[in-house]
Amino acid sequence: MGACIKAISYYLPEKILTNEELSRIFPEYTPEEIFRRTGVKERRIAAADEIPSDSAVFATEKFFAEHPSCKKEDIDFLIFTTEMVDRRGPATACVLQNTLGLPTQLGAIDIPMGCSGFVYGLMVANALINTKVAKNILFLTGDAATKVIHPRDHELRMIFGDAMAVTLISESENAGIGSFVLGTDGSGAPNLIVEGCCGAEKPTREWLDKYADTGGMPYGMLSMKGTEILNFSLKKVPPLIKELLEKEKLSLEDIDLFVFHQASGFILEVLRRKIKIPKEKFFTNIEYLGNTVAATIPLALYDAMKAGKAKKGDKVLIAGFGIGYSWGATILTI
Amino acid sequence: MDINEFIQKLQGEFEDIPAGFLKPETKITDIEGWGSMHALIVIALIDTEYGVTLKGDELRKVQSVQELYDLVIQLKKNQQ
Repeated sequence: MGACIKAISYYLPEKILTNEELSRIFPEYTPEEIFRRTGVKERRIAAADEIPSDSAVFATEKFFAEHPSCKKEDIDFLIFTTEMVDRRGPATACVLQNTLGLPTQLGAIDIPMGCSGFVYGLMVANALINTKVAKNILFLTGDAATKVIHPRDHELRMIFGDAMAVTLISESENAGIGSFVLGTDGSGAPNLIVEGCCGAEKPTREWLDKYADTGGMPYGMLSMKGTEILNFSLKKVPPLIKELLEKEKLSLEDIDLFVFHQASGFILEVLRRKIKIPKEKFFTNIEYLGNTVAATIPLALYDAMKAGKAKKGDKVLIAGFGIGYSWGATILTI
Repeated sequence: MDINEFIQKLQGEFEDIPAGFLKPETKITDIEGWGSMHALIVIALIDTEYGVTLKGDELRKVQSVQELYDLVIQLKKNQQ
């Protein structure tokens, strides 16, 4: 017995931000230049009043509509992975149990993680199933990064988009989720960080005044040191893949498809070359979604399966890495 | 690897630089349109070609092509 990913679905906000539109806002960059820098042609933007818990409701409704054989009453655990929870308390997952109309006999937790969030949530779900705590886990992953990006921050606006993914992880006869390799280095925290929203960095009057022209950045503000993130990715991701393959006694050639966190088109291509993954085994869909933080891996898995690039029985290596720094990887058997 | 080889590799990464523009004494920030994207390209190139991963701060301190080359050589030495 083990756990497997039984079904995936995702929801995208309606509003599309194209490179043409960005180029009108930042005339020093042509649409082609924006694509060349980021690998992104368009990204979705959540409505002004839509926060991840709202997207979670839309995404879950879509999930059950698309998968009529999955029933709400069978769900016995809910994991909500986002960096933008509703409030300090209660946990957003608890509130969502009620909003989503899920049984009260379930466990519900938030996992406030970003780029590595899908891998970490999957690791928790796998452990919950293998320790007989739960049989059917509804796993919601997504964010609204565009809410914490300053309107004049062209680099971040070019890369990030909003989305919410729903993954059902269920008990299964054969284990579809392999072992995990994880890592953390909090010394990298300042290089990718959301400031000015809570705890250590409360939104002060000065903060709200400073950003008054952009609505006060009330959700906080994301900042990224791109060169440091590239340095971190180059240093940590290739050894992560190597260690996982060694742990699983597999070689690069045994993997049918690699699905990495869709950080940026540039970082993905540099990593692909460094790890020496053939192009046809390296799935990307950042082109029309951007970097959707915790949602990128399930979005890519869904699209890869739909495109027939991840078929039943295939071994798919997934790797999440970024904000934290936090990183992790595992191998799925589809 | 000598500096000429290094310059050739750098030149290969920047399509918009005229041939012969890069010399050891060329200031990196004089490269037309030099910006964050170029920094990323340089870090990726040096990682691939020389097996050392520059930090953003290290790159920011570098002024000329010669200094960049010296830094790469130094980092490579430290690694061994």
